[in-house]
Parts: sequence; structure tokens; C-alpha cells
Amino acid sequence: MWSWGAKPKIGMSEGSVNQGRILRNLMRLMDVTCGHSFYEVLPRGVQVWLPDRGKGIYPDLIVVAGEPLLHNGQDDRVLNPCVMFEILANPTPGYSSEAATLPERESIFRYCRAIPYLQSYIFVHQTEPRVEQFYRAEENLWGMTAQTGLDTVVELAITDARLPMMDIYDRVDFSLLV
Amino acid sequence: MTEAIDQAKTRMQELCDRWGPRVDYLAIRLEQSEGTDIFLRGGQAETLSEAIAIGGHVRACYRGGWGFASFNDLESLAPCVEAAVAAARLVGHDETLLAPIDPVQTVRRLPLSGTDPRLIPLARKKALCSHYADLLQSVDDRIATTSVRYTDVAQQVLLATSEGTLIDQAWSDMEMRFAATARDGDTVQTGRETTGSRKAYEDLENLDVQVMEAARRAVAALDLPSVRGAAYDVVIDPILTGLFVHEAFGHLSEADMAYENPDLLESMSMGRRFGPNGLQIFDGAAPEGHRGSYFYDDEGTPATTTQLIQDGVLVGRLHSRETAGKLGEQPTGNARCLNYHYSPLVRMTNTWIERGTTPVDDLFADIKEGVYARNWLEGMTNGEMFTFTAGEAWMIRNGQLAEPVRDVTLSGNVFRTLADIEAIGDDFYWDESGGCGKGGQNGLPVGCGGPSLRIRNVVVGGEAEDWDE
Repeated sequence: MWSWGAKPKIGMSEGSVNQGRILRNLMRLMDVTCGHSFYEVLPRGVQVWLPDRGKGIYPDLIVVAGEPLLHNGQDDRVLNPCVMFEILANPTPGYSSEAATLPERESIFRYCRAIPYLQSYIFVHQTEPRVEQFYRAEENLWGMTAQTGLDTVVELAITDARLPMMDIYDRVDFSLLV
Repeated sequence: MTEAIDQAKTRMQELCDRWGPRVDYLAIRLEQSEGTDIFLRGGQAETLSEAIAIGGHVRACYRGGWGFASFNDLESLAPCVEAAVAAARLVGHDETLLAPIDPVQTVRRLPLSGTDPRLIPLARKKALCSHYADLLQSVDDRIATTSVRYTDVAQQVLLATSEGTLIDQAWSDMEMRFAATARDGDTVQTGRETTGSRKAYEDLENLDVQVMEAARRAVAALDLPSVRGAAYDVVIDPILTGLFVHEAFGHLSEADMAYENPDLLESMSMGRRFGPNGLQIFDGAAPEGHRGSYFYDDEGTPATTTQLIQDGVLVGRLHSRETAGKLGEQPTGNARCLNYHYSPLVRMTNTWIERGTTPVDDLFADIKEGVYARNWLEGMTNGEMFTFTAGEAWMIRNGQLAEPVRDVTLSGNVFRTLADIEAIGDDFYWDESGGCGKGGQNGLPVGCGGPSLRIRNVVVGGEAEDWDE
């Protein structure tokens, strides 16, 4: 789940309980695996600025290598996420997990591919244990891996983080209606 | 520092002699590199760095098990050899299968035809980037942002093995990437250009026309209609051909991919027909002057040229010594590592489709409604599947180039697409812009080449509608 421009309203829930659980789990896992190293993990609420589009987005979770690089020095406009997580709403506008081609598998990833620092963009499903990672194989060329089921492990293309699916989906109830 | 790496030769040999008998194979790779990295976005420097590094790694193989240790301090060389040997002995329980090569002792330098980038001051490189950034910005008021990246690296690599190999080789590599994004309301379009060289810093100068083309294409695309999504007969230019042969086909030819994936190994069976009789595909570091050219790979195997497809039939694949040994084939000199942090993997070098016999103009003949696509903006591969977005495109109507269109993505299965090649042009172009990624080792210099191709029945997608903005 992501949002354009305006900051998510505090006190008004936009996501499901499962989304909240997944976000909490990811934050916990990422902070333990790489949050105390060269990388910094930042939760939802931090704006990633897209100079190409002249606007910002609020991803669910980002990782920055080194210090955050700020657009024109503005401390609410981060330019250099190297990892971004998107917890998929159901349905997510424009997103199709069945899509065989990159342009069809869109969401906000479409715009984020222009971020030169981005190495990995990760879709996390909430209705089934499924994680799809798009990684930058070359400057403008992306590869993709997918994990399904709770007994597999997501290995991030950067940061050396290994995220057990069992932990990503800890306490997530797949029987809940979204 | 050059003295330090030169003096290390004797120690490397001594260590190989001393520890070699404890394992089946021992290799020490020592590397010294000097590099520059500049990145301007919107004309402002976000990265401006020069770095010097010295480091190495040790690989030991014992009964099929590998030990690996890397270091960035020459004092750690001996302990790393000990650690790698111990690790290999711990995990090796099978049989070491490395295809044999002749040991060689040599010093080789990839020749430069112009100025060594190490002799150019950082300020001059930055000024070149700023010049190109200004050019991109100057093309039109609708250019929203620009980016210019410059990288160079000069590497000297020593390789010593327990088999008696001692190779000292060096090269310089340079690359520049340009992008301009044009915006008009919610419509955003990007144009890109990339170039690289292993020959001369001068190759990166005087690119004004090429650089401005990137911005011009971005602006022009703002007013173009999206292509109507459908399956079309398509003509692609040599740059797209090079991308296709490298990304869609070449990676499947890397024997480690096939060895680890029985289904792929079966798909890539020798003797299987993949394309028309006129289709010839090669890979090799032996041809001089390209981004993927070198003398010896990172295992000391001499550079070769390997024919992968002959007359449309699969006849070869790319090997390290281990994959060649395990599959009972000849090593091809394709074991490469990005730097001393990594172990060598099977990698492409220069990959190309040979020039055909069809005059380029004739490729368009008889196409009632098709698409002509040139260059590329971005892409994705996933096993046999690929999607590439064209840098610019036109409709083909009744055998003639017609109106330009935008948002052209070409998708398909590589095997089906190779089989659907209808004609191979008599042109040829080497694209030296490649930086290949595999196994976390991204940005490895490669060359890609080929002629224009005519391919039938390619799925062409148009742009998705914007939403929720």
C-alpha cells in the first residue's frame, strides 16, 4: 500500500489489521537484520521524493544506505532509498500478480524504477503468503524472484537481509476478509 | 601501491607452492583498482568520488568443496590462504572436477588508443558531466530533470595458482550514462543514452549530438500517441538486437545456470534448433577493443570465441573450469568476477548475432502493419521471459515507416522469439554500453552486437492508464 503526496492522516486507519501486522513484522525483521549497520530502516510516513514527477510518495517501508539524501535539503524529501516495500492492498490499482510482463505489473513501482539508488522493490501480499522481489540486475534492467508459502526465505538483493516468510507473516490471519 | 602488488607476486607463488599440496586446486587473485564515480542529477552533484583499493581473494577446492576468503590488507594474505584451505577441506566430500588448462606465466596490458582516464583530473571529468547535463537541460523547457553518470576504473589483477599459472593483466574501463525526463502535466517521458570504452577517455568527449538526442526523444514522446497493444511483425535495430541476445538468450547459455537447473539444461540441449538457418550467435572475450575483451579470465583460462548457435542450432555454451569439468565440455574463458569481494561466476563477455544478408530496407517489405523499434529504455527478464521498452518506435504500414508512437514494450519467450526471426539484416553495430548483472555482481562490462532483425508475431504492449493521482 502506498499513497501519493499527502501524508497519511494520523489516527485514521487506512490499512487492514493484517497490513499492520505485516508492516510491524517487516520493520522488526529489517531493523534486526540490517538496521544497526550501514543501512537505516525507515517506516511508513517518510516521503520519498521523485524529482522526475515533481511529487512524493509514502512507501510502507524503505531502507537507506548511509545517510538519507534530501531533495534541496528539505528533510521530508528523501531521494535515495535502496530498498522499498509495498504491502499490497486488495486490490491494488494497476497491479496484477498474474502479469507476465513488467509494464503490466505496475503499482507505484512504475515510478520508483527511475530512482537511481533503488536496488530492490518488494511486493508483500496480505491475502496469501507470497512475496515478489524485483531487483536491479543492471542499470535499467530488472529481474524478479518470488517466494510462496511460509517455509521459504526471502533473500534481499541488497543488505544481506534474509527474511523468513514465517516471520513476515507472524500472526497474520489469512481468513480475515480484506 | 604498484610496487606493493608487484612485490606480492613472489609471496603468492610461495603460498601456492606451500599450501597447494593440501588441496586439489588453489588460486590467489590480487587486485589493485583506481576508480572515479560522478553522478549529477538536475545538474547538481550527488556523487563525486575517487577511490583506490587493493585487495584479493583466495579460492581453494578440495574433493569438490570450495573454500573462499577475501582480504583488503596484504598482511592478511597468508591467513586467508590458510582459512580458504581449511574451509575447502571441511566441506569437500566428493570429487574435484575442473576442466584442465595449460598453466601460463605472462604479463598482459589491454592497450589504450588514447588517454588513460587516470591522467584526467577529477575536475575535468566533472566539467564534462556538467557540460552534458547543461546540454540535456537546454533542449526544451519541458525537460523536468536530467541525470549524468560517469564511472571509470583501472584494474591490475594478479592470478597465481597451484598449477603454476601466474598472470598479471590490466585494463581501464569507462562508462557514461545520460537521461532526460520531460514532463507536460501528468505525462512524463524519458530518453536515455549510454556509452562505454576500454580504449580512450576521448571516446567520452564530443558526444553532444548523441546526448542531446536523449533529451530530444523525451520531449518528442510527450506528444506522441501510445501504440495500440497487439501482436505485430516487428523490426528491431542492432542495439535492441544486442540487448535481446545478451539478456534473453545469453544468460541461458551460461553453464552454471543450466547445471543448477535440470529443466533449463534440457531446454538448452546441444543440437536443438532455436532459430532460422541464417542465425549465428557468438560470445567471446578474444575479439579486441570491446567492453568484454580481455586476455585471460579470472581462472587463468585464455579468452576464446564460442559459437553458441550455428545455423540456428545450439552448438555451445559458456563455461568456467568447474562447469566444463562437470558437463564434460571445454572451458571457454568465461569465469569472471566483478572484483576481489566475489568469486568468479560464468559470465558473458562480448555477445553478438552475426550480420545477415537481408538489406535493411527489405526488412520492412511486405509488413502491412508492424512496429519498428530502436534502442531501449528499460526491461525485465524472468527465466525465458523478457520485456523490453523501446527507446523510440514507429509504426510500419504497407512496408514503409509511418507515424512515430511511444510506450512500445516488446514481450515474449526467448525460444519462441528466436524461432520467429524471419530475416537478419546486413547491418551491424557494437553497443559498448553494457554493464551486466548476475549473482549480486552488477555492472560487469560487456559488449553486445548484432544486426537489425525482423521478428514475426511479437507481443507489443502500450502504456497502462494512469490511476489514483
